[in-house]
Amino acid sequence: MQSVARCSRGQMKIQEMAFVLVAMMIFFGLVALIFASINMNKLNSQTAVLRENDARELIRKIAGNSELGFTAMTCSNCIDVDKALVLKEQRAYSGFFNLDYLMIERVFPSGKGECSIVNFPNCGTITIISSSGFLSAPYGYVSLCRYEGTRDKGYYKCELGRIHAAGKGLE
Amino acid sequence: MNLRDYTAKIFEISIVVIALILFYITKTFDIGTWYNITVGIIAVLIVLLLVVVYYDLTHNNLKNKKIGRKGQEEITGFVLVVVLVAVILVVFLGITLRGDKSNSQESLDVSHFLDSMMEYTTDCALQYEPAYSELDELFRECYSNSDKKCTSGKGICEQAKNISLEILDASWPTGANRPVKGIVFNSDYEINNSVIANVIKIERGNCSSSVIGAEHFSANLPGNIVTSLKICS
Repeated sequence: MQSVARCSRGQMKIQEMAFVLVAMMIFFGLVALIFASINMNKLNSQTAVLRENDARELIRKIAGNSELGFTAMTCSNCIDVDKALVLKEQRAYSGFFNLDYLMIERVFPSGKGECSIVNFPNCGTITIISSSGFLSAPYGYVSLCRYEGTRDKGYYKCELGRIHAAGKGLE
Repeated sequence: MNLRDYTAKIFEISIVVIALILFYITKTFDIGTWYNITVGIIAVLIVLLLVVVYYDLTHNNLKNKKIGRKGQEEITGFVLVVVLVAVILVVFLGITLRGDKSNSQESLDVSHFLDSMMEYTTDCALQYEPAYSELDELFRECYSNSDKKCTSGKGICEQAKNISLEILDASWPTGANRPVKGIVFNSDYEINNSVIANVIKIERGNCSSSVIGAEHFSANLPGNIVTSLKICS
């Protein structure tokens, strides 16, 4: 009887130990999994930020393009608004940037409506390319510069703007 | 209540606590669908395992009172270890995530904004009209000759601050119901990274949450005008 009692007691202990070990293993596995998940999530968000930054840099690169850039003064992020207005009317340049959407927005001072040579600067946006309906596209802040005034009493005026772009040219 | 009942209660509480911790973690952090499913399955398995252990020990121990006391002590130890590890995990996670939130992240968008903002041509001419100054130049003049006035008669520092305010309000509108909760715009004159004087400081809204920001440097020998913008969302 005593040996039976000892045997069942020993089995019980082994059983308990096995349960504890399995539970601990699963628990630590779970902890490791959660940490890995959180780190993966962080990596994903960092990737998204890097892609967004890449897109912004490429958009700013468009501003430095000789077809749009303001060359009268040393400024890497300045867009010549007069060039943009002329470029808008030139259909031959529609495939030049390899983009589906290219729009310049005046942020400060702000304006409303599409710009043309006639109504500028009393307007808000210059849409150079619009292949399809874009609700939102990545953008980058730029300076919108132009020569203001008459030939003798003129000056270079820069305003704050954003350039929005989307399409294969940004990939 | 004897020791066995106490142990059983601790088991019940620990099962509930672990389930709540897992629920909190999976709900709070957007870990992804597959990870959520995996975590959910493992959570169910652990809870089931604990229930089985609990049932087995409480019922078997009733039949076999000889091993009751020893087994109960081991169970109590196990529960304490599990609860301790769970508490450490939650505290560690809390500290890690809180640390991440308080950090200010460098933003390319804000950096581009500051570059373009400083290029803005103001309506303040320092020598003659129409030689209007850029905002960057007004900041430098505001530090060097704060009493100087524009040709229109307005103070340089006043003009610099007003134009900065208008640009910031147009570009980063703040409010409790807006994506941007607050902004801190600060311009200091620094020599060898030590602040000599504050040029302009603008604060809008509430800036206690996560922050992105950038700095703009403008040479004004022997130091620099360092302009920073922090966006709180």
